[in-house]
Amino acid sequence: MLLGQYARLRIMDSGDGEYVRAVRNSPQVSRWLLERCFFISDVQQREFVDSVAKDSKQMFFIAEDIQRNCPFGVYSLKYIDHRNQRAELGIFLEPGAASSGVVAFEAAVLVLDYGFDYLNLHKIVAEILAENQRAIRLDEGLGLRLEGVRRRHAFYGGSFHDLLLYAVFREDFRERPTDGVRLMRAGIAAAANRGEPSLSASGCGEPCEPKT
Amino acid sequence: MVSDALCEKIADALDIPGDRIQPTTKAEDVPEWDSMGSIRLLLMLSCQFGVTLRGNEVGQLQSVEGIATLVNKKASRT
Repeated sequence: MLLGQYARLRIMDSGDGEYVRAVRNSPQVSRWLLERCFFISDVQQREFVDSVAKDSKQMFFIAEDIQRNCPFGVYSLKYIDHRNQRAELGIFLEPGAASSGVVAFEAAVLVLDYGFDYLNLHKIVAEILAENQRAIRLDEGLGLRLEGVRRRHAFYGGSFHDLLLYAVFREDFRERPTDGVRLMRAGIAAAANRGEPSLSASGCGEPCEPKT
Repeated sequence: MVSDALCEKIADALDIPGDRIQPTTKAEDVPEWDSMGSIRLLLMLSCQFGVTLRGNEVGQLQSVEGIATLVNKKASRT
């Protein structure tokens, strides 16, 4: 489990399938997903969760708000490439589920730290639809920088849209963090000093029912 | 009690015009008050008021009234 001051993340397991499906199928989330812009069935979701559990190139985390003791989204490191030491960050948040945007931001810092410090990645990338301003603000706040644009690359809503390619290198994230990342790290360290390790092998109890 | 000065600081942190922040404003009323906006508010509170949030206070960052409570609580401690 990855543990911060406000958020904790645990590895997705078979019991999380319905929660993940509910979040991914919500209109506010599915409109920004590149891979699937249609509803995901129960069978597809079970196959997806099972495949992730067996795949060392993907890690999916259920993010929980510590204060509310409820999940608020799903974070992932996908396409983990050990030879080239890179992976792709994925975030989908259940609207209104976290007690503050700070919780979602801290969870992203925990996942990036995990990718760089434990998976030994050298670069983490993100692909964002050009219209997804919230994701752009979040990723830039985390220190990801625009590397390029794939023009008219993604089809949704009846037309093709630009896809923005963002990335952050390990040395930049570690040594030149943004003010927001620095602030979150201080809070995570404070939580650890209170006897709450930032990384452990255990789970964190039963998740709440997903909001519908 | 929420001061005009605090509303102005919140608007500055969110990089929006001052008249979009009122004492009754909540995060859900302002698109810029998202994850990154919340971090900018937290940085503003830390730098200008010396406020740091414990886990059970983070929800107060979702409204002007809640932020005023955090600032007043900090002021009463010092």
